[in-house]
Amino acid sequence: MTTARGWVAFVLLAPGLTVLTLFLLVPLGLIVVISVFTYSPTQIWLPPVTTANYVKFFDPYYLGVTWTTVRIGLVTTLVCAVLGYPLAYFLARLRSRWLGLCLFLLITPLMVSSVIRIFGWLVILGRQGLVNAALGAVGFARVDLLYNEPAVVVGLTELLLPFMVLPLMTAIETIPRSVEEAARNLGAGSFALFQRVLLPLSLPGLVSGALLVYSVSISALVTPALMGGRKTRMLGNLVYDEVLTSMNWPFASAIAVVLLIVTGAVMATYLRTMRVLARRVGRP
Amino acid sequence: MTRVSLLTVVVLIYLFLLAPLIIVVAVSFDPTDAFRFPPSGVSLRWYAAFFASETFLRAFFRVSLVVAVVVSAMATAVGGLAAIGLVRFLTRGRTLVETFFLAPIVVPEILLGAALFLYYSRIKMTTSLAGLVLGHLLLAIPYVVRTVAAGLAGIDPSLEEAALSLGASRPQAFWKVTVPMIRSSVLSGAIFAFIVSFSDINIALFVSGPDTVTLPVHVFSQIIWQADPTIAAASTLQIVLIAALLAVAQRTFRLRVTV
Amino acid sequence: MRGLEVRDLTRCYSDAVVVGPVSFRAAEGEFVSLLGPSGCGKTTTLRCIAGFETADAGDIRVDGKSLVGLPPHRRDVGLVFQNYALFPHLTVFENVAFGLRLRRRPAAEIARRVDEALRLVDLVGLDARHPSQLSGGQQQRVALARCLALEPRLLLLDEPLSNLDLKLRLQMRAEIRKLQRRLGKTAIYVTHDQGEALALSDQIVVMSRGRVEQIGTPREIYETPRTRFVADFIGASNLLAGSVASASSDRVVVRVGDLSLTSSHGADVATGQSVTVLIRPERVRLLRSANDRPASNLLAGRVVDVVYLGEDLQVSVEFESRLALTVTLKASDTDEALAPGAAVTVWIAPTDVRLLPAERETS
Repeated sequence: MTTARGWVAFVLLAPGLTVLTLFLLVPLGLIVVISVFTYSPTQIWLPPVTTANYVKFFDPYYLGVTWTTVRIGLVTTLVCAVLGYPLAYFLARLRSRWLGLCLFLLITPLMVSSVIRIFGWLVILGRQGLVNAALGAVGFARVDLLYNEPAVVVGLTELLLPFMVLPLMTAIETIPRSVEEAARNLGAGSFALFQRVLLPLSLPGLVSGALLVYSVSISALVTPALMGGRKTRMLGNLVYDEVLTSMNWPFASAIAVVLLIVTGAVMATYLRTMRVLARRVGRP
Repeated sequence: MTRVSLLTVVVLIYLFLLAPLIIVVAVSFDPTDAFRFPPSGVSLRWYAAFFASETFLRAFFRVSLVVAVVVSAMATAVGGLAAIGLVRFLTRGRTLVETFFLAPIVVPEILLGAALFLYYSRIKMTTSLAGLVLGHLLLAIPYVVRTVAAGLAGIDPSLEEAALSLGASRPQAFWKVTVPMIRSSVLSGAIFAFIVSFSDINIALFVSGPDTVTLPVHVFSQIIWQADPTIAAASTLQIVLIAALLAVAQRTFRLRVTV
Repeated sequence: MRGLEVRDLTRCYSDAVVVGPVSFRAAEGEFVSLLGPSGCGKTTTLRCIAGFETADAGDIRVDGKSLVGLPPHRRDVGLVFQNYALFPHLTVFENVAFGLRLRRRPAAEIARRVDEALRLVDLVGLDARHPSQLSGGQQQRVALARCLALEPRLLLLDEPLSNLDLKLRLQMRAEIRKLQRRLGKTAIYVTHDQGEALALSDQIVVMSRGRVEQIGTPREIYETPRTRFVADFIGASNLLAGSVASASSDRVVVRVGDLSLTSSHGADVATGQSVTVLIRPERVRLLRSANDRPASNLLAGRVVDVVYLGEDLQVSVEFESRLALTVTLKASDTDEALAPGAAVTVWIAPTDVRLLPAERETS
């Protein structure tokens, strides 16, 4: 009986497993392998195993890029948390009639290609763009709002805010309204309510959201490429350039492996926190 | 914080979230290319330009749309079967296999793109539509598996048992009772697979070649080389398409499972 | 005045008046129940007093000061929630100390007052436990202690016992009453359980469909209900439609169908008026001996059904002109076998025949 079930399971899972193995595991394995090969301008890579690609990371320029990436990731996560909490709270306490529409408005930007949103930001923040036009109208000089780090943070925040809001909203929903009312009844103003009741009880949601936002922002490519200018390069830009322009695939692979390890760790923690949260949702 | 001040903050945040999209749509209707808001008039000039542009049309209809439809169909089939296998037939090692199917989410998209690029060049399969389809499958399968598995898990097992007690065989009970009930999960899985494929930029940037330029990739290069409002028209069309699909999906499934 | 005063409180939801105007008072130290079926507006009224809903009109005063316009965290009224609403991430001690910590009281004072509050509710020694580790009854006590620690001027209780099983409910009922008397706190208690309201209250405010039906002591409410709703909601009742045949200050004759009943409550009725006659089942007496036949309200009928309830017997009796009454007798009192079909004669004292204004049947 068990073996019959096992066979059916195998047949059902086989296509998916094949696709994932052939096009996920193998390519990633290939990258790990290439990352320890030597770079050759003529043949792209050569067998001699070396750690030179990883050592290259410690070159000040690349360390700088790494630090920029980490910094942008942290700032984006922080801004998302600050902006995301009120939104998550609002949605968690919203009566169901409006909730559908609000969720739709939250998720649609997420599903539209990021290039489109970045194009919108370029129009808004560009030298000839809307903000500068408004500033010019009231007599201020034009400001360079693009091609710097804050611009990338703005772009990434707008992109990733829903990733913060959704787990946080789920967490806040598990807090019964009567608990909030009890806190108010006992004398808690809004800040005390947040600090002593909402925050501790919604922490798993906040952590989940933060991990998700962080791991996606450190692997950003398109946003820094279009909005960051030459000054703001992140590890994603590096991978792209090394793969398609410099053709230094071993080094690109090394960067990829490092990114993979970091995001893997972050996402693994995220998935575990989400499981904790899911268990809590079951309990009233 | 009063109800009113919270509402104000929320509205402002929503405006922040939707501002780029609103601007893009507005610019697409502006007769000038001055990128002004509010637009100085209404004109379909840029839409005409879009439909006159060989490259844009090709990117939208011959590449992105085709790939998305194929990916949607394949991901739904593969992912749906996998979800059924996972939830109903796999007894041992279920968490492990489930994690494996959700693994592509853990890997950053640019790494998937870079890895596939290197892999394809190794097996001499560069810049083909198939390569794009397979890459997008990686992104789409976890969505389908998750929605269908959630749908299956939400079905009361006693319904199938009732069918069995009324004389149905196991396959019959499954086919006649369970499958119709997961129709909505399968549909929303298919829709998300389509959206994920159509909107993808990170994998397409690595894997597409001169003949397989997707719409997002074309928009990307246009932004760099020649930023004119035709981009806005193309983008608005994509926004409308995706918003419409999402609205359909929302009727059949809780949107929250996307993350 | 000291205590609570609610005047013309009105609350609307999208153009429909849900509650009001509602007016009642609770003197200092009084225990007042808001009693009524679900949907009658009692909880809404309570939440208006607590500040979680805003009244659209009317005034709420505690010790003479109006609460209208004050946000809930500044009203100094204690609210015990139906589901207790304990903070799951805090221990029992921290739950009770919550309000005191907000007011930045010194640690020593907090410890003392928490200890005192827990002692009052008879819950010593569980300081370090979390709410999930407590039983329903214990959680309820913690909720109570949490309010009492702040020594509020007014205590509000929203059906606090409805989630407990019967035995525990009766036990906690007595304890709440004892506690309230001992502390002398003004208490407003919302319930749909009339037994609870009768047992606990100094005054009962009976509500229906957002309005006050009657305010009175438990005895007044039970014995002299003023509307059909109150008569029907509190205790069991026989309600009959009739019209006044003759009326004088101490004697009224009412025609119910073909029968005549005499009532000694003739003050407010006029001849020809339609009335609803209320007869409590336990006030209908079985005629035992042929002697001592009372002058009026003697009815001959037939037993239709007998239900044995342990302490009581509930007997359905049918009389001529299809008049039917439910009669409650003490099982120990009835020696003869009352079986369906048996002929009986019943008697009702004129003072037990009560008259209520006839109301149109509104569903």
